[in-house]
Amino acid sequence: MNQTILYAEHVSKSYNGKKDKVTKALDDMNFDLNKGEIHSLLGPNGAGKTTLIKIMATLLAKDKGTVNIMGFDLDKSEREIRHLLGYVGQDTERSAYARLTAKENLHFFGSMRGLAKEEIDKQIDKLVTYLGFEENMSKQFMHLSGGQKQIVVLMRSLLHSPPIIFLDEPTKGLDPIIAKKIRRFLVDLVKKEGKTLLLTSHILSEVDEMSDRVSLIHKGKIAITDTPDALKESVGVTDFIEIERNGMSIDIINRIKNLDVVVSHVERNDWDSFGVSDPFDGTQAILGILKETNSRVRFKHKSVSLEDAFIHHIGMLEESFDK
Amino acid sequence: MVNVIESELKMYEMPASEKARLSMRVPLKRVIFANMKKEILIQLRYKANFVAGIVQALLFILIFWFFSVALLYTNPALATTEAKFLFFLSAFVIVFYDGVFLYGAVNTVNRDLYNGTLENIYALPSSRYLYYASSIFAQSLILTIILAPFLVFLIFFSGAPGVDVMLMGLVLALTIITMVAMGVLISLMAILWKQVGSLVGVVGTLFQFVGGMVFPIDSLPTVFRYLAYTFPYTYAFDLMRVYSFGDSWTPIMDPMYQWGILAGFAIGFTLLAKVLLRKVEKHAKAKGLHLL
Repeated sequence: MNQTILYAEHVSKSYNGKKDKVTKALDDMNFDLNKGEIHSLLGPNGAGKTTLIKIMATLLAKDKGTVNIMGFDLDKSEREIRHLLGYVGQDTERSAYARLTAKENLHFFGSMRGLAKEEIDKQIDKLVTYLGFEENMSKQFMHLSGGQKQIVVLMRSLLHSPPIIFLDEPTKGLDPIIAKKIRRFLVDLVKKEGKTLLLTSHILSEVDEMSDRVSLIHKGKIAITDTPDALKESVGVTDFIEIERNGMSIDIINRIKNLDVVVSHVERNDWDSFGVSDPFDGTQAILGILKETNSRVRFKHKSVSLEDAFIHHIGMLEESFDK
Repeated sequence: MVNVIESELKMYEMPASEKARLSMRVPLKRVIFANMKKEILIQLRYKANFVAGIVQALLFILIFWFFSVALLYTNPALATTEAKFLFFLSAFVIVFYDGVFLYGAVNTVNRDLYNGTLENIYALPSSRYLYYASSIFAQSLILTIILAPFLVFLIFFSGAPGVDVMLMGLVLALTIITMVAMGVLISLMAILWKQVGSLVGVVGTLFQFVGGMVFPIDSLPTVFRYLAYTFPYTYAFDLMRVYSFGDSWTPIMDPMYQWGILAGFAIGFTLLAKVLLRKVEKHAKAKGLHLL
């Protein structure tokens, strides 16, 4: 059985805005994190992902509820919890001293964590070698690129070798090569060193690739927690057949929609997307109609992605919320 | 809405020895040295500021020298040029350090806000009071490094007695401790309200003028005189006058009491700053991190 390393129970947090307007960021939320997993928080902007992470990282006070991290109660043991966590916030462009070099920044933050110089040097050597970052260590933080800054901030969060690491959008705004490098590094941290990762991201392919479990947050509550595959399955279709709308009559679209194998229909820009319960039967039936009506249109096939699952669940949640 | 956390929680058990290790405080020495090193490195990277600091110090010393000579012409009976110079020099040192105490704290918070590092400082397990205090202390140290050669030369040149110079150094040290705590209090204001530059200016001016730097407090209107007794500078300046002018100066009260009051300010301000820091942090964390 999975061991729980962190749990949050009935956590609520509201912000007071102008004219006494109260915004509920977290609403009686429950959440748990298993040892050695990569757990991703998904949700629309303002759903409460960052608020949850900041509360658990001791940076924000909750209004109600309990948070326990490796046996330590958040209300009583902030110092211990800060030792246990590595934290990478969203704005890494501005999160270290601009005029200090990468190495000086790491030494400063390491010492402020109580680490001895030798321990910091040892850990820096290990991380720098792994990430191939040697030549940038003597550059001032302000002279590093966005991706390099992200690597420095990531290294900072790992200096004390914490068992749990919170990463709020760790690859936001990075080019695909650096993003891939960071993803591979994070997965290795979990696989080889047994770390536990909690991350938020809007790059759903990244979440799908990395995560063991995904929690979908909606309006301050965890709406669903499951594996990426299970979330995709829960959409109810296995594949999408997409047809370019240009040159297709409403009559043809309606005929396709009425097929037994077609479960859903969504308009996406210039394309009609049909969700099918069976990829083989669905493709055959749709192609049959196009052939019969002599419709020479562009056609493509796509498996269900986490993005589809996300849109599907958010849509359902919005609907139930409106009702 | 469905809430699907169904996994039966089996909580991870941490070994007791590991728990005890996590409860240990971050060594004070490490926090202070790390912060001082950071401050010095940053200051040195702004070379123009560093050179301007030295030039400003020289200018101030010259101005105070002229003051002391001019005063001797107007009232030659009061004391020698050396004594006056020593007093003005010590007052100048307090004024110079005062800039560090008051603005150093605000600068630290503003720099952390600008660099976006404040949130990361708050994610660390070390003492925030020490963080602010050591930032101010480090900036004082940098100033000392700039001023020290001039001061040593000038004190030697003035021919002032060594004991008096040492006692004045002690007054300065106590004032520094008091003002570091004051600096932390000001940094709290900077966290809460961000733009506190003008407020700091008002506090600084009040401390200097009502505290008797330019005019002895006996020459001030009654209201200001009573106000002066609540400022640490009043006792610091008066003690410096005692050790500069000797018997020709009538102190505002017995110097021993003044030492006690100055020490009381140092302890009281430190305790107050620590308590208030905790309260401000609590407030900031409840309101949201936009405050930090």
